[in-house]
Amino acid sequence: MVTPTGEHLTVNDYQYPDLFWALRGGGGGTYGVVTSVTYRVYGSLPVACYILQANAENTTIMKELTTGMLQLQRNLTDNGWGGYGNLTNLTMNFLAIAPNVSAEAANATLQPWTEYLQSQGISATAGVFQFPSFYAWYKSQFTNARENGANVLITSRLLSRDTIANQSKDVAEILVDCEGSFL
Amino acid sequence: MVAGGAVSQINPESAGINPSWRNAVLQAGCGVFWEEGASSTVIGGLISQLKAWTSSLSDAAPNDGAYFNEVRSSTLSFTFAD
Repeated sequence: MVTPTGEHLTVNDYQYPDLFWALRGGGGGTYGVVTSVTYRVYGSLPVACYILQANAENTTIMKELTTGMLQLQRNLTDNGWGGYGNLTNLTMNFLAIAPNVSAEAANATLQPWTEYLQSQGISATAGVFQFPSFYAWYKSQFTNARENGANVLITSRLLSRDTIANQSKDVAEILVDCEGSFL
Repeated sequence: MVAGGAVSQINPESAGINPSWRNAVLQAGCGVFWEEGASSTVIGGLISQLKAWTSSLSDAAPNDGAYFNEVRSSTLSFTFAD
């Protein structure tokens, strides 16, 4: 890697271990430019993907839906899922994946949420899709690579389990008002 | 969900992330966008809106922090991701 001071360093468990640790975390680009990497890799695994598109009749229902979605995240993260969602004041799009999870296990994790949607009469298109590998999933979602980038400023919070348990309604209120996102 | 759950169970030495991230279930965020060439007045108005949302998020989750690359010098107390 090349540091902001212009040094060209080899970074690993034995040389500059503090930098090696920092580079493996959130915001690796903060510490310099990595010019070459050696990875230990693992065998390819199948990937399960959950896709949801939901519509709310009004903003009040949308805020309730978002509160439920925030609370669902505990189920998902505890079972190895990761993903992201976007909100408008009347719609929710959400996509999440998990490695090596059967359709049965995926449906079991999502069942409380699916039942919630049905009980509330929410108009939604949702499903679990299986892919043989991460790359197969990636190609299914990102077929048209093109220029990206935007003039944007964001604000964000990493919400704790306690906040999700007790403050989901307040956070949902803000997220729907700002037509925000969650991941 | 970039955090919490299964991720929180791995060896803390394996990745350099801040404490809020280790305890998080998910990250929530709001953004403001503008077209190329927008005036500083327009951008300034959007930044004021963003600050208001940041303040609301802080009120809703006073003990939670932020991913440090997503904190701006324009926030009220950026060292605490305010």
